[in-house]
Amino acid sequence: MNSDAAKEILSAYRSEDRDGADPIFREAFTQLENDAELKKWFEEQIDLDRSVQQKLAGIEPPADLQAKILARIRGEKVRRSVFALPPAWLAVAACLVLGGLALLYSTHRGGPDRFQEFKTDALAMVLLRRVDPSSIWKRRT
Amino acid sequence: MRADLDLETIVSELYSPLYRFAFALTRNETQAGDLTQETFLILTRQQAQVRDVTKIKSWLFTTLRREFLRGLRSQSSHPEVELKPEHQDLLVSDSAVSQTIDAGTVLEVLAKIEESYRMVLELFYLADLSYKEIAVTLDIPIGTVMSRLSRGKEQLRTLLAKTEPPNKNLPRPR
Repeated sequence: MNSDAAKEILSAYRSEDRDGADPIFREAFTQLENDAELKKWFEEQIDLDRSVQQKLAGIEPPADLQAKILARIRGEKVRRSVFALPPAWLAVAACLVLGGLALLYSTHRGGPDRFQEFKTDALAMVLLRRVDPSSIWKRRT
Repeated sequence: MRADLDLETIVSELYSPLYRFAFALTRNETQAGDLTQETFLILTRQQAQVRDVTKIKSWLFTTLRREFLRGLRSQSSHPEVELKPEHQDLLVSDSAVSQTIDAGTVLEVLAKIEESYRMVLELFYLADLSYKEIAVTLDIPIGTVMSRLSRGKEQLRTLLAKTEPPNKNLPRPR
């Protein structure tokens, strides 16, 4: 591995605790021990990284951002849980509704036909007004 | 088998770096906050699709970047609301500027770096992603990530040296 290749690899190095176990850096670190210029370059690189990261860490999120995110996540979970009923429950609910409607319809049909009664009564009233009452009397007798 | 996601823990651990990344992209406090919230909301909706919990971090940064680009495309299709870079700078609130005056300088310098390098640097410094995670996030080979990090850092070092007063302890370009 030449110096430029080692620089390219070491540019991706963050810190011992995060990247120390990654074998890709081992060979580059070996190169460091034998190359004083590369070692100096790497130290400066680490200084640059530390300095830039410290400055960028100054970007603070708004104080209420975490609470806002958590509130929206909880809201979304509730909304989803309402619409995410298991299919078995939906099937049972649908059966109950359809069964109830069928029962209601059959009961209604089996009972007195109120509309038919109403129609008969209404027709009778109209006919009574148009027909001479004496003729009705005669018809009945 | 995928373990259930502990969304609240994920939020508390990652909302700050995500916000910083969003702020670097938008340069606007409100938009960065909205983008961060939207990203976590998408995770909530699509958590069943996240197969590998260890890749949540990359997934979140990828999603945030995708949402940012979607927003840009939407703005460019509505030119009347298009935000030009100089206008975006004006939208940064006073509180954000005062809190991030040093960070602002670094972000300004980052903005001058070629985009392919800048993206990799932002993920490295703001998101603290490893080179492997950056490769996944940007969908580019690991070798490309390393090469862009190396060249990007060189550009950053040169530009910072021109910006920073000489008494600052940044290493000088070689």
